[in-house]
Amino acid sequence: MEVMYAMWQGLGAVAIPENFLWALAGSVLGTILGVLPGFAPSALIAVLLPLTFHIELIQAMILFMAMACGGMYGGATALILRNMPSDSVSVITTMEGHRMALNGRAGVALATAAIGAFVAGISATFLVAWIAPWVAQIASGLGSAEIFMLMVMAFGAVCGSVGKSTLRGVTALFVGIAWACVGVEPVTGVERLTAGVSWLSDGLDMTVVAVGLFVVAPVLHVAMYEGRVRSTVNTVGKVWMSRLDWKRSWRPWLRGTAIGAPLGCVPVGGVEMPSYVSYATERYMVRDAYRGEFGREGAIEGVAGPEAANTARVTTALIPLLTMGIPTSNATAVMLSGLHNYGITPGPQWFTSGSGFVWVLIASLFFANVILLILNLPLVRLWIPLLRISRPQLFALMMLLAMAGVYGIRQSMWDIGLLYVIGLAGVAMRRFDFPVTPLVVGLVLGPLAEIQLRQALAVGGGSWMVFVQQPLTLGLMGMVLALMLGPLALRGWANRRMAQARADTSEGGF
Amino acid sequence: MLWMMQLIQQLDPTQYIVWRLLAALKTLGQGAETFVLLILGERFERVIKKGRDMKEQNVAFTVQDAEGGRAPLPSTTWQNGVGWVVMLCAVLWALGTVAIPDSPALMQGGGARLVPALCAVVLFVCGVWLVWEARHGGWRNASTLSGYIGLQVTPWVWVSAGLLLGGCLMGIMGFVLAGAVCYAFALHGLRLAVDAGACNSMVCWVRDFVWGIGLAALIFLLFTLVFGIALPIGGLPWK
Repeated sequence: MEVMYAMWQGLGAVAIPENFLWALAGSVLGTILGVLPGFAPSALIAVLLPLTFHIELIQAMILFMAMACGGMYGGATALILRNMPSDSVSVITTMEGHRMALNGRAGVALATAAIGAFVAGISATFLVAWIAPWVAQIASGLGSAEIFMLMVMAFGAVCGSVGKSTLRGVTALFVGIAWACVGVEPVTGVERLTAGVSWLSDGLDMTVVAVGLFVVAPVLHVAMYEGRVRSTVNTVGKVWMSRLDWKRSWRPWLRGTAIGAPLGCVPVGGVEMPSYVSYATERYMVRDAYRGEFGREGAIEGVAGPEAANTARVTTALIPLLTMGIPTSNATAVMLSGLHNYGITPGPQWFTSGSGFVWVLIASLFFANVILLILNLPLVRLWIPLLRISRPQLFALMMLLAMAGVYGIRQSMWDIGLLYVIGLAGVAMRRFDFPVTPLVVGLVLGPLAEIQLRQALAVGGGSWMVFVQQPLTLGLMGMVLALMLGPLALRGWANRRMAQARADTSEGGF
Repeated sequence: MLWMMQLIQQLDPTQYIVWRLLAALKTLGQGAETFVLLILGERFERVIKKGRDMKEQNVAFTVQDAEGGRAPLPSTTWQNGVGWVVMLCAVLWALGTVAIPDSPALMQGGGARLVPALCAVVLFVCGVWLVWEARHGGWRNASTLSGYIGLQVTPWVWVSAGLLLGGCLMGIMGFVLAGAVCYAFALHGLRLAVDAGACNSMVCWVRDFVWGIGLAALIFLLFTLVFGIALPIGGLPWK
């Protein structure tokens, strides 16, 4: 009942016109960016990070959360109508959604995607509301050593699961942590690794890094390495689901939510994992009568499930962020950076101190989902002109926005230079297949992890044994090792079995 | 069993675990259908393979039907070079770390040098490992790039010039005009990237610049009036 009461209070706070308008603005901006090809919602959140210096914390967070959700809804529109996913996680929906559109069922695909995202968004928000206080209660009893190990586990998860190589993931992570060390050190206030450059004493601004990696790097990559893109926009038709469509969709929506919600909290296998698992599940569980639609004319189950899984993942990724201040994706990492601009670090105290702030944030998700359903179902035709914007114009506009966003922080020309250098670094990372997420998470979480590490060591009298003396830290360390070394060990095992199988086959005379 | 082994080798272990988990769950209820799931598992693997090339870090680079092909990682020489660069950065980082003044009173907590030193050590080890992999058959588990057509220098120069020149001119000309320069240059570069015979006439330049002024003015108003973020006005009449 306490949760329901707190939620009710939160809903009341969001309903005031000012907060509601920020939720509306975030939903519209998120949908626009989701519809536009080539940029993830985290790109626009990064560009708008300087906002945090000028508007209230609650409004900024409502805006960013609505934008993150809006990106999911808008992404479905883009990929169904134009076969051009705005991000990697929505690409799976293309397989069936675009086929449905080609067969004149674009409206049905859009409807099932939007309603599925709504069902998953609302269900996952309830899940956040019920689970987050419980997780926060556990987290509030943890010491520095345990919290540090949880952060290391988050590092291990992003290194081991995002990107194909753990080695390159670890390299990117430690580059991020190293960048976070630049500037005034958080415990003693010592200036470090600035090479005497005065404008580095405040450290590398997260906005510059995020905009460089998420906006400038893609634009530079298009200019440097990519050629012409041919795509056509399908007609929407009637955005309506028949009784049969509803019957075929409701189970995939629920299954997708069940798959996406846990994988949002702990990103095992990468951010796109929920949609792949959901797609595979639907393909397996579909009735024989409709099995033939997969990969041909497009099966509605293949759109409904993955879209629900995606939205549930994005929503439940807020649980580790809100309860422990641990980001597990680009969007949550940029949001955490926004919170840091207010001098605030999320944690269990948000739930245990009786502050209503966190409940306003959670309640804003309900509003955002309702707004997004309206924007992406009856008003979906509003976004179609955006699909016709040519890529050069869109990318040039994003460059302009990036310049405005970064220059707006400190009015410094040096920041623009740094932005360009980080953009080039992002292009190099893309070319050499280094994942960006570990770098961003390392940059945001690095300073917090450093504080916890040094506090734990101080408590333990300078001894590193503090991390193996408690059963919980030992267990977490085991999980970190499993996350990091498990993939390597399994791959080695598979290689050995493969070699053995080949040897057996050749001996058998095949 | 050979196809199973091939499948296992190609799958990412975490995905393999989830896949096996799905199989196990299904087997509980419908033991006889395990064989069907294994067949579908092969399809699932194809789905995953298709998606693996589009990881989150590649979000912004998603290209459909690009005219280019699919490129592997740069040669092992380049990979080797990157490994050495990582090692060099680690050494420079270590030198920078040594220069950090450390407070003996706070040494129990590791001091200000602790994390930078840790980064230097780990990055050095990673660099050595990257070089080792490059020299022993190339980096492992690399994804290919879609829509790759080789380095295009001219578009790159135009886009870079747009951003850097715009940044330099911002304080003098104000955001609107500097933004228009950035937009026109970047647009020209991006047009060249997608079509070598892109519009190069004076009319095109003027049109792009006018569009740039309009868009930059809109962004200026949005940032300054709505978001409250200050952008330079410059020495122009609207001051």
